[in-house]
Amino acid sequence: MGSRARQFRQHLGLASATALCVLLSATVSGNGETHVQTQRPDPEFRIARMAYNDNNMMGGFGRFGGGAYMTDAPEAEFHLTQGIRRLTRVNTIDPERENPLWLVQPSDPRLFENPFLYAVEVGRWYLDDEEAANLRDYLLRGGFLMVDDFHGDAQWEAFLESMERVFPDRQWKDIPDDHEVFHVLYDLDHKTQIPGIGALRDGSTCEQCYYGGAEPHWRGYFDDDGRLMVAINFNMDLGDAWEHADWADYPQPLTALAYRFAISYALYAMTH
Amino acid sequence: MLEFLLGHSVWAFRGGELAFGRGWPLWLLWAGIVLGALAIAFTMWQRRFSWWRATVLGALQVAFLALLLVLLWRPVLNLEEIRERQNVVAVVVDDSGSMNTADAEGGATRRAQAVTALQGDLLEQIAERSDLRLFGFSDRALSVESLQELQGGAATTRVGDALDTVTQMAASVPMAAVVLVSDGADTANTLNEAALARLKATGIPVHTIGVGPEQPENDLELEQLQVPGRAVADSTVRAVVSIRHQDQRSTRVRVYDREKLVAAQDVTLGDASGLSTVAVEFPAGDAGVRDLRVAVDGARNETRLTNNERHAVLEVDARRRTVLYVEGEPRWEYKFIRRAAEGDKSLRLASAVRATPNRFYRQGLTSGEELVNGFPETEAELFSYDAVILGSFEAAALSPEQHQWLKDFVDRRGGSLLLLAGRDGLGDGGWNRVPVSPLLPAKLPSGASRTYGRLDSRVKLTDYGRESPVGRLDADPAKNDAAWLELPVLADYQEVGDLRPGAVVLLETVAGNTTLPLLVTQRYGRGATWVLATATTWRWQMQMPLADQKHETFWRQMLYALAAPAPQRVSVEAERPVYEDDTAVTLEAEVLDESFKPVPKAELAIEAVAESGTRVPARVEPSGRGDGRYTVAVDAREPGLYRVNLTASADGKQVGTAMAHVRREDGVLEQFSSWQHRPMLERIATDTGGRYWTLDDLAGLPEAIRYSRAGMVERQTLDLWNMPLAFLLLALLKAGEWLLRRRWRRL
Repeated sequence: MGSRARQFRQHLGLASATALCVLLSATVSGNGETHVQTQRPDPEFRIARMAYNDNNMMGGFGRFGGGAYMTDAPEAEFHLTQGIRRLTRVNTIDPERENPLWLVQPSDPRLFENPFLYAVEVGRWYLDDEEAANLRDYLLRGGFLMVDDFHGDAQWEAFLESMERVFPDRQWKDIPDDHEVFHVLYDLDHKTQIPGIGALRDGSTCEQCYYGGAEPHWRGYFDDDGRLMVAINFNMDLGDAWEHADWADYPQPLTALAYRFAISYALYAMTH
Repeated sequence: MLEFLLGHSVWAFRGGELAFGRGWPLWLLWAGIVLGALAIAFTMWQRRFSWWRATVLGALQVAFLALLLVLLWRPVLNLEEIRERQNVVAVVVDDSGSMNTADAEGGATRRAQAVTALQGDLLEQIAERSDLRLFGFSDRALSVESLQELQGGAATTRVGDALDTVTQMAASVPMAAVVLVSDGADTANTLNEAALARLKATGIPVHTIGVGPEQPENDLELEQLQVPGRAVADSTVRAVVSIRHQDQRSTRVRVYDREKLVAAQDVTLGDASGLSTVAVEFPAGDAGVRDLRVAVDGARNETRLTNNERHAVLEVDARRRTVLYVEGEPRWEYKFIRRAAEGDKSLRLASAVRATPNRFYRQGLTSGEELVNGFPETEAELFSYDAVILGSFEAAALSPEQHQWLKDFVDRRGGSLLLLAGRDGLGDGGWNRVPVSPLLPAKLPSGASRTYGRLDSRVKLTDYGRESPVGRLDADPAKNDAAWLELPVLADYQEVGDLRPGAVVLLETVAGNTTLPLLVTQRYGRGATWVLATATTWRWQMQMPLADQKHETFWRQMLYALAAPAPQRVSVEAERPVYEDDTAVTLEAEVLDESFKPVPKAELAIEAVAESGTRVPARVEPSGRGDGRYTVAVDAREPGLYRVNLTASADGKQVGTAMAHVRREDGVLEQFSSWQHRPMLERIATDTGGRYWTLDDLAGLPEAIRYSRAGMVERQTLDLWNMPLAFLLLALLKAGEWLLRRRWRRL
C-alpha cells in the first residue's frame, strides 16, 4: 500500500513538473517574446555574375561552365570586392573567407535577391525571350546591371541583339559627363580607356581597334525616371583591370580608375 | 371597475400607506387568526374528512375568519392629496423640429398627436384641481396660453434646460407635478447625470408622455462621421461612418467634395439592427480645404432622407513634409526607401548616407549646405524636419549636443523618430544608452552579443496595425490581411528588447513558431518614436511583380505617419469641424518659438470670414497658463463655411500664420436620433417619482397628479373596511365552501 502511495506521489510530481514546463514554455514562446536566435547577417553587397548562354559568335565554349561569362573570374571579384571593402563603408563579403564568385543565370529567381549584377564579354551573350523578360523585370524593379569587356561593332551588335529583347521599347544613350553616376563619390574623367591585358601587351589600349573598338564609350539604359539601370562599358575591359591589380605589367593608375568606376556604379546602384 | 371594487382611485392606493384605524394591538389580530385556525382544524379532525378535503375546507374557513377579523380592526389608507386649486401643474410640450415629424398614421405630426391627446378632457381634468401652466420648449422653455401657440421647428431640444426652468417656479409657487410631453431626443446633451440629480432633488414628480415611434422604421441614419481634420496632399484619408439601421443589410456610402463625388463604396451592415461602423477611404487631393459631404444611399422606400448625410471639413495641407534619413552605410533598404518616396510632391526625403568613413553622399537637398556633415549641426536645423529616420548608424557618431537635440526633437518639437535595424542600428549601435533611448517603445538590448542577424520570417498585421494607416495595403480588411501574409520573406531581424508599457505593435514577424515585434511605436511628449526591426523590406520590391505597389505604399504611408503629425510653430484648430445649430464657434491657437517653446504673450490678429465674404466678429483670449495657447471665439450666425486666418507676432516680429476652416449648419440636430427615446423618458419619471405614459393611455394621469406628494398637500385617511371588494370576497369564500360541501355530499 505504501509503495502504491509513493508511486502515486511520484506520478503526481512528474505530471506537475511537466505542466509547469509546458506553462513556462508557453509563456516564453508567446507573443510577448522578444528574443530569437539569428544567424550571421548576410553581407549587404555582393557581385552576382551573370551566367548567360553563348551566342556562338566566336565559336564559343558551349553552354554553361567555362563559357565567356567566366572571363576574369574569380580574381576580378576577389580584387574588386576587397577594393570596395577598403575604400567604402559598403558591407561586402570577405573574399578571404568566402568565395567571391556567385553565378546566377538570367532566368534564375535568385536573381531578385541581389540587386547588383555583372555581365562580362556581353558581345558573346545570348538571352532568350524568357531570360530577357526576367532581366527586364529585374532592372525595372530596381536591379542594376554593369556590362563590360566587349569591343568593336560586331560585338556591340551582338550585345544589342539580346538587349533589344530585354528592352524592345528603349534605346541606349551615352551617359553624359555630368551624370550623377560619375560624381556619386569621385569626379570621374571617363575619357580614359581601360584596356584588357592582352591589348596592353600588344602595345595598344583597344581591341578590335579597326572595327569600331578604338574609342571607349560609357553608355546606358535608363528607366522612366531617368535612373541608370544598365551601365555599359564598351570597348573597355574593367574586369582585366581588377583581375590584374596584382600584376606588375598592368598599370596601377588604370586599375585604380577601374576600381573607381566599379565603386561609382555600386554606390549609384545602392542609392538610386 | 377596479375603482368600484376598491371604493377609491387606484392612484390613491399607489401613493398611500395601509394602516389599521381601530387602535387595537396587532398581536391580538394574529392571535385571533391563529386560535380560529386551530379551532377550525380541530373541527375538521373530528369530522374525519379525508386530509385534502379537510385542508381545502379549513383554508376557506380560515381565510373567511382572517378577512373578517382584519375588517374588524378597521383598515385605512393614509395618503396625501394635493390641495384643490392651490397647486401649479406645469405641462411642458416639446416644440422642437423633431416634433414636426409626421410619422403617425394619417400623416399627423408628433406635435399634432400630442396636442390632440392633451386637448381632450385631460387638461380640463388636471385644471379642475390645479392651476395649469402650459409651456413649449425647444432650446428654452416659454410659457404659452394655449397649445395652439406652439409653432415648432426650433433647431435644438434642450430637455434638461427646459425642466430646470420650469421646476425653478417651485421656489415661488407650490408645484404638484410636471408633465413632460416629448420624444426625448435631447440634442444638446442637457440631460446628463448632474441634470437628473438636480431634477430629483426638487422632489417634484415628472410625468413623461412619450411621443413618436420607439423604433425608426425603414430608416437609415448616418449617426456619426469621423474624418481627420488635416491631411497631406495626395494622401488617402479614412472616414469612419456609423450607420444606424434596421433590417437593411447593405448600402452605399458616397463622399462628395461639395458637389464632386470623390469616393463611393458599397458597405455591408450588421445582421442585427443597430449601429454598424464602416471605414471609407478617399483621396485627399490637392492642397486646400475639402468641404465634405458624406451620404448614405437611402433604403428601399425610405422616406426620411434628411438624416442620411453629414458634413465634415478636411484641411489638405499645402506644406510639404520633410523627413531626414541618415544612413551609416550604403544599403539596399536606403535605395528602395528613396525610390518609394520619390515622385511624391508632398514629401521631401532629405538623406545622407555615409558612403566612405569620411564622406556622406547626400540626396533630396534644398541647398548645398544641408547635411554637409551628415547630421544637422544646430537644433534649429534638426527642428526644421518633421521626422527623422536613423539607419545602420552608430550612436557614437553624434555629439552629446546632437543626442540632446534628438531627444528634444521628439519630446518638445513633436517630431517622429524611426530607428531601423542594422549592424550599427538599435542596441548594436549603442542606441540603448543615449538620451533618446528612454523615449523609445522598447528597452533596447544592451548585452555583449550581437542582436542583428539573418532570419527568414513573414510579416503579420496586428489588430493595432489594422487600424493604422501604416498597415493598410488594401482597403478591404480581408484582402489587406492576406496582402501582408503574401509578402516575400524578410531576411533579417534585430531584437528590440522588452516593450515599454505604452508601446503599440503594428507589425509582427513570424519565424517558425516564434512571433516577434517588427514595427513598434509609442507616443512620447509631443512626438512619437518608432522601431522597425528589419532592413530587408527592399526584398518586397525586388521579389514582387513589377506592377505591385505594396513596398511603395507601405513606405509612403510610413513616411506620412512619421511626418504628418508634426506640429507647426503657429497653429489654429477648431474644437470641432462642423457646428450644428450652434453659433458660438471656438478654436484653439498655439504659438511656439523657434525652439518650439510656448510664446505666452504673442499678439494674434484674427480674421474670420463667412462663406458669403462677410467678416464676422472674433476675439482671442490667452489660456492664462503660459502655455502659448489661445482661445479664439467666432460669432458665426449664418450657415456655411468659415475661414479663420491667424497671424501671430511676438516682440514686433511675425512668428507665423495659420488657417482653419469650420462649417456652420442649421436645422441639423433635429433630423438625427429623432425616434422616441423611451428609456430616457422612463428614467426621468422613475427618478422623480412620476410615471411614463403613452399617448393612448393617459386617462389615469389626472388622478396620478391628484395624489402627488409635492406642492401643497393635505393628509387623508380613507376607510377600507367598506370596500365592495371585501364583502365580495367574504361572500365568495362562504359560497365556495357551501358549493364544495354540497358536491361532497357532506353539507
